Amino acid sequence: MPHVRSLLRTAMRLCRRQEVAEDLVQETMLHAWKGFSQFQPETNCKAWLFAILMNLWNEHHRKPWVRHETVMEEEFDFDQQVVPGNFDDRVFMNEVLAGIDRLPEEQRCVLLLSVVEGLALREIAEILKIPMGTVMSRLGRARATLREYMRPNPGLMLSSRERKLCDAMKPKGY
Amino acid sequence: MQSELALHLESCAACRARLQQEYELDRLITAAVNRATPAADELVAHIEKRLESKLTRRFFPWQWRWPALAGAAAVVLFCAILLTRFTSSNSMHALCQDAMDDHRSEVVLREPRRWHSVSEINDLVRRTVPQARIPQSIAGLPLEKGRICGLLQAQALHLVYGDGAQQVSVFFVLRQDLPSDSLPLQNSAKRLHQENDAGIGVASFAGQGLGVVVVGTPRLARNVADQLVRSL
Repeated sequence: MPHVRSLLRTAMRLCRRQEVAEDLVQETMLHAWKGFSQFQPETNCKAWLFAILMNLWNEHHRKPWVRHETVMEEEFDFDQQVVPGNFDDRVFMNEVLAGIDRLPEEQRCVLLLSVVEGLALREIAEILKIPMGTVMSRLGRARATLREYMRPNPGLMLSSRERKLCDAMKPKGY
Repeated sequence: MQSELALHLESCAACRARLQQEYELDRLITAAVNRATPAADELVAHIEKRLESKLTRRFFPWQWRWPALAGAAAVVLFCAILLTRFTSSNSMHALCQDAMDDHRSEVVLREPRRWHSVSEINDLVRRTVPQARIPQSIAGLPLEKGRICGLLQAQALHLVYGDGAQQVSVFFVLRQDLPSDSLPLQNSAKRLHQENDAGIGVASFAGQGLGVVVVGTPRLARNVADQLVRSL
């Protein structure tokens, strides 16, 4: 089944809870199956699936009981992400992930769709139903905010690899 | 545009470094998000299972939709015919119903109406049904009073026979003023149409250019109608 992992990847970062994310992906695939006649073969199937996912997510957001199902930012433990790998890698990746999850949702969506999923700006604009200029500005702000989050804590002992990664992320002149 | 950018990057180390930093950041984001995403195998299996169950569930209705629709249409048509048959304006029933309503309100419930005494009834007969021979008593019940009323929008003579204990209404109307199917048979005085409704009986018949409707208790209405059939 194509693109399920991609959908789950983005859904995980939107919902921040695995079971909610899986439900969202499942609903996305069922909607896609039901409405497959609306898919235009010459267009990008992945973008179409993401459009369904984002619509469902927005609908989910509008429901009054949604706040009980999703984890709110203030109660979400950014340091308790389950990232496999060795300890150093895990700590550092958790930092990155925490930075992504702290982004405002509108910026996070654009960042995920563009950087992680590799969708074109035009496709993202169609998915999120916003102008392309807005996509670009949100993406720029997301990157800048993420850099800000990722500034190394002076008190934190970083491995040489982490320091190298952090240096790579620093804006020029910082 | 891209070639211009490539040319610029070749000559500008700062922009090259900045671009490199962007690539690094993208790689880092992608790696972090990927590593935090759980395996989707179980989810895929679950979705496939749900889709399969939907497919098998849909197979039956889809295959049988036209026969089902045809059956439903037949049932609706049948019901519509039945409904039309039993609720259509049946003139015979409407005439009886109209007479029954008049009897209930004017005789049983004694709603105020202007009644004429026996001495004035001959004049009423002349005005409404001149060819009718009105008996002064029927089934042992003397004529009490009369008035002119409307039955199915036709002018009718409403006579009440009674002895204080029981009363019966007899309506006379010109046959030509009524719809053709509102009385049993055009020229057969012997055919009676009877209806009962909550303890009130109606008998109607036609004869000698007249339509006659008798309303009272079921047995009394029948007796009075029988006597009138013979006398007319």
